[in-house]
Amino acid sequence: MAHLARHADSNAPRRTAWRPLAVAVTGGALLMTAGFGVWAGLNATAFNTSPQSVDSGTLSLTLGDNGAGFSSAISNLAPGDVVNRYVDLTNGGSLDAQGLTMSVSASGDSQLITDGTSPATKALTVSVTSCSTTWTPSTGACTGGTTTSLLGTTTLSGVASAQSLISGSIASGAVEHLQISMTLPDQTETTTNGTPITGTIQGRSATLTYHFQEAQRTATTTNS
Amino acid sequence: MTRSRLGSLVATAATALVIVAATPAWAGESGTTSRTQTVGSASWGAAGSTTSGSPTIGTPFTLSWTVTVLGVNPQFFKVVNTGTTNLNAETYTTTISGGPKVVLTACVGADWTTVLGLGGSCAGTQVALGDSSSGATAASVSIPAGSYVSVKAAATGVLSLGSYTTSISVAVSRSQARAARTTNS
Repeated sequence: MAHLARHADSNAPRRTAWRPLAVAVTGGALLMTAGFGVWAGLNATAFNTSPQSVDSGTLSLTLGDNGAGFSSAISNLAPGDVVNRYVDLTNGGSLDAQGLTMSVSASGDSQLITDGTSPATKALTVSVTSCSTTWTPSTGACTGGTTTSLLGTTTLSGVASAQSLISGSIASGAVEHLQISMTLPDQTETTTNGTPITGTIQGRSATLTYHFQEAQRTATTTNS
Repeated sequence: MTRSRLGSLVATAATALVIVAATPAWAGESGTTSRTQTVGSASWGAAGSTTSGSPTIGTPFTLSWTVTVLGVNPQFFKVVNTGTTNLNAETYTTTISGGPKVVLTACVGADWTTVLGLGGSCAGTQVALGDSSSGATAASVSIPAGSYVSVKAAATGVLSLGSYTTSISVAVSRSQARAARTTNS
């Protein structure tokens, strides 16, 4: 018996070494079980059975000739001549627009673009008039409509930067019927024996690029 | 503040100003469209020319005369429209140093024709273009673009023997070319 007791006493330190590990494993298992139990409760969800559709609007500005328009060159312009060309600007996007502007980039002979004097009296000038109906290109008539001056007579240097044509709103789908008037101001030049004066306005050429731009309507906040 | 730091601040401020100035008044999307067009101006003018040659651009047209005891025959030349517009009138200045008076006459609608170099006949309408004693003379002679008018120069008055040169200058002012017009197309 004494032998057995001695034997038991000799094994006591070995039991105390693994016992804390067993307790930790057991306790951890209990905690994990309890934790999963908290999340395993009932859940409720809601969603729209028909997906909501969200589309962004579009903004599109297109230009079409009405008659010769911009597609045909203006040639043989004598001082005092006025050439009226007609174009239609369409706000073809889904959004309303605002702030229609026009600028003209000019290159070529400076005599047609700027005569170096102020106010300019020799170089080309441009003006823009709208018709509430439609222009008749062959006659320049705005039949059944009213005309509105959108841009008075302005030198090309004056429209090098964007000039406002319509500051207000332009409805989606709206078409602006424009008359673009190009004028070479009247002036006196005498040609002697077929030779014009130095710096003449005669026989000059310029290339004009018309730029039209509009902005989207003001952003809105809606409740519905 | 060091000079380099001050310079950096100035550059930053300038950049900010440029950005602000370049920002369009309307924010958000924009629609643009553009189109190019060429524009050309007309020209107007006229110059003398031999009946078979090219106009003398830049210098007066000259005619040489040799007056003999047999007299002197008239000479014929053209006044050519050198521009791109129709002309309604021109101004002629005829000069000669010494020698006879030289008279210019246009034949509108036809050319002057000669028989054996003598005289000359006009099947069209004769229009006086002045003479060497009258100074500048404006004459209402229509010359379409690309066309010409036939002219006779005749030596008249007391003919002194010798050789002479007549200078004929043709000037065209803007008001003598076609009138301004408004076109729609």
